Amino acid sequence: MRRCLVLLAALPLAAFAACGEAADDVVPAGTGGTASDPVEGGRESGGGTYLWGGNSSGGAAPGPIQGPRLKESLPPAAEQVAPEAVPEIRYLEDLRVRAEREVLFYEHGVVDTGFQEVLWADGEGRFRLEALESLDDDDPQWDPVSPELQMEYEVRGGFLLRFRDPHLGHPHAYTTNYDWYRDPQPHQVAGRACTLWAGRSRHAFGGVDLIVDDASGLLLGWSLYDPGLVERASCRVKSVDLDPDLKGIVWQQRAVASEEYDPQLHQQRVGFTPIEPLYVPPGFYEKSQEVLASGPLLGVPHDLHVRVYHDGVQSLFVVEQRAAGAVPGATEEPVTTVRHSRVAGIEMVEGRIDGVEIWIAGTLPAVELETIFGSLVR
Amino acid sequence: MTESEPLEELPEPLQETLRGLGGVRAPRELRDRVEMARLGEVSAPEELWQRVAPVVHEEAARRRVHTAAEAAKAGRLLSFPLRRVAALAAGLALLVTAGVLLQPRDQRRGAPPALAAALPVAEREAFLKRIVVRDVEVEDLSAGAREFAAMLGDGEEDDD
Repeated sequence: MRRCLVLLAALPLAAFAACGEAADDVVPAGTGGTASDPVEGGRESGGGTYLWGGNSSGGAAPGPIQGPRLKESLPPAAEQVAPEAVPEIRYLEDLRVRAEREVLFYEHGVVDTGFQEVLWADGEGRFRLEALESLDDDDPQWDPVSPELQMEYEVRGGFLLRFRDPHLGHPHAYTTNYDWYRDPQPHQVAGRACTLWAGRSRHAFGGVDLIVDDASGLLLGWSLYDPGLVERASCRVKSVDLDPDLKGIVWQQRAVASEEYDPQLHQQRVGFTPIEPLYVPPGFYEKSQEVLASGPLLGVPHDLHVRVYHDGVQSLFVVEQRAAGAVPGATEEPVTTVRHSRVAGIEMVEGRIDGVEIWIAGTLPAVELETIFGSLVR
Repeated sequence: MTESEPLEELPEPLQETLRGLGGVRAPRELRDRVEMARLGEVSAPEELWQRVAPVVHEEAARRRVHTAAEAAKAGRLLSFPLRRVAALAAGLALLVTAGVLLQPRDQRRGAPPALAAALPVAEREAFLKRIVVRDVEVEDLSAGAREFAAMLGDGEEDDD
């Protein structure tokens, strides 16, 4: 398995190189058909066969989850509870803390990649996430992390902590969108007595297990489940120090400015009018709109507009960026070709509409992301 | 960043990492970056870019494609496969994102958000018919898209 060699000092070059490559990779709208170009959308697989409608890869039919799969993903003794019974959860990064934890990623239920991490936080918003050891399917032994991986964490720490790790959103969302179960069996994490709370999407979008310290409400472990209710990632805290010595910690902070998106202020800056999806998967709400300053360091010519949607447990991203060299509105095609792939367990749909590059990413079934994309086409 | 700022000793693990880089030329840049982050100066990245941009452009123009092995042989950190290196760009973009998008945690006590309702199947299919979906290999996605997805998942850019 290829390891993403994120060497921090190479980032400027990365930014530079990305300009050309990303532009080259983009498939112009309407060019993805077979010899007889389609006039309606569909799905083009490797052999050029079209599958009509929403029968996409990874797609689970929306609707309530029932049957043995749900039971398999739940602890045997788990009992359904009222959603309101889920306790208010506190997160380690909100405290002054040093915690070690093990994060595993699974492929078809088998461990594929893993990291031993240490998290420092000062309780005032500053944090640092570092990798200590790692394993992958090429080398299923815990080994000290390479300098490359350590620097990868240097770059990604904040993102991993805030997006990879689950955080419950508004109670209205996670109580409406998820059925909740409580495991009466006691759980021990980091020597603490904990309770496992399991949330399963009512829209067949997967689920989450949250292992919560009974005394403090701290989240000390979690598991994430894909739409097929197969575990795709887990984390267990191994030790917690709530009175750590933080002297000398190099905190991870944002490097480039961003702001809440304001059309009056930012539309000219991003270079286009962001398109609002007409379709949002059931249960999701728009959590934020941001404009991210590209700046010279990013090596991209235009700022990014990012919509973040949330269903109380999972996030979904719609990222728009003016394509390099594109003139908004210059092309009008009846059908837009988009590309879909699965990267690191994440579904990604990518394409271009009227000179705007669009990424849609999340853990939902691919057909949901594709429907969002289709709803962007006017 | 100002030169008059007294620098604290870097944490031992980071020092070891830097030593582990051997003859690679980048530690000065790394140190600058780390110090910038420590000081929390938003303007530092642009300053960093301005400082290294000439080197980067010169390097990119001179060497179009390099393997990691070649890079190690040459002892230059700025030599990486362009495809790989391109993916790193979004890494930084996501560093940006990390500090931005979820800064305030979701409002747990605010007004209930409006949740999207399920649409009729016919409407969903109408949206799907506006596009042609091509299933591609991960490598056929743009570098930024690959990196963005990798950051949300297990950190790898491989296909699953």
